[in-house]
Amino acid sequence: MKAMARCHELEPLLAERASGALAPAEEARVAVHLVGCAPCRAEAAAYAEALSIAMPRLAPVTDAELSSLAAAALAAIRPSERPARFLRWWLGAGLAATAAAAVALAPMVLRDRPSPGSVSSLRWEAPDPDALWRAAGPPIEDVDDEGDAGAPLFAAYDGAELS
Amino acid sequence: MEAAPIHVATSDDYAERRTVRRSRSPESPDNAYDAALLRAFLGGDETAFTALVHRHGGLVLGIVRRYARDSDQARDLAQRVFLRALQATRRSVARGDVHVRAWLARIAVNLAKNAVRDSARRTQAALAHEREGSSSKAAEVLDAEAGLLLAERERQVSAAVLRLPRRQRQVLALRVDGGLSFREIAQALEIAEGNARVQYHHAMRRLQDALAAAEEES
Repeated sequence: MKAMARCHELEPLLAERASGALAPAEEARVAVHLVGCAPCRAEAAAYAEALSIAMPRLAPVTDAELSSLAAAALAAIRPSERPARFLRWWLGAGLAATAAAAVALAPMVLRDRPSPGSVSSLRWEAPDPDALWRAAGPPIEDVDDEGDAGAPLFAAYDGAELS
Repeated sequence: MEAAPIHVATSDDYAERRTVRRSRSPESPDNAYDAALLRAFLGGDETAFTALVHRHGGLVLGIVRRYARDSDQARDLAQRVFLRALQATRRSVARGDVHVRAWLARIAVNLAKNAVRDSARRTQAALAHEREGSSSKAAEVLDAEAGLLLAERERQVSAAVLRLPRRQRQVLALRVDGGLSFREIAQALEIAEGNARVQYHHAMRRLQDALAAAEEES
């Protein structure tokens, strides 16, 4: 009964042992157990065989393969993303974005604001649609496509021959 | 900064993987060294990138070439892994939050999965000549009929890997091909270490069942 309990306890370690995942202390503990336990030996062998068939070990990666990989990866990095240029691009883009944000936010920041004391007295009022319409100015006139009938770009669609 | 020892996990010796596993942890100076290499690369030093590839290329190639058609495709996949990791890490370098190895592992296992999906085929046969010993068990069997049965068993068990649930396959690939510890696997996949172990055990059990089923059929 005690041996069975030990087997149950060690079963997870047998699976990990198949891929060499055990720490030395665990490895030694399992090895001692396997000497006297045929079922666990069979279980360990089955795990090892299944793993060796399903995922056979491949040849070690060579230095030549790593050098080839490094060269290929560096070559694949676009010129705009090469290190120094990349940093300069980000620096420039960051400055441009900051400047754009400053221009966009300036009217909001610089406009007249009510004094702190008067803020509490402000109330939201529903806008007057007619006033908004007048404030928007005259409507944009539709483009008269008929007036451009002679434009070469559209003439092709009318069956006319391009010059 | 003095170069730290290169810890490249290879697939030639599981015992060696244990050594690699114990030498690495989230608090490891390896992360700081990787961060230094990244900063150097972003500062214009391309040799720093080469050093990063030499430090972690074994991990990446080990994972992706299992699913690659040939060595050229494996290199292309590995190259994409490094480029994507570079994109991901650039934002983190300034924060000092750099886990290059974990990112590489996660990207590699995902790209490898996509490679399988896109090509809809697993081409271990193409890499068979690169396997250890350059000979499969089936090829060693002189009897043709027994060889065919053995080859069919290998095919069935190998196919069982692709039928594994995504998380189980990821954990198995990172453990077997990447040589990562369960702690590193947990970090790479952003799951608990106990969960990584459970996924691994489920995967191993399924492979064992597949082997048993294949033997019954033969």
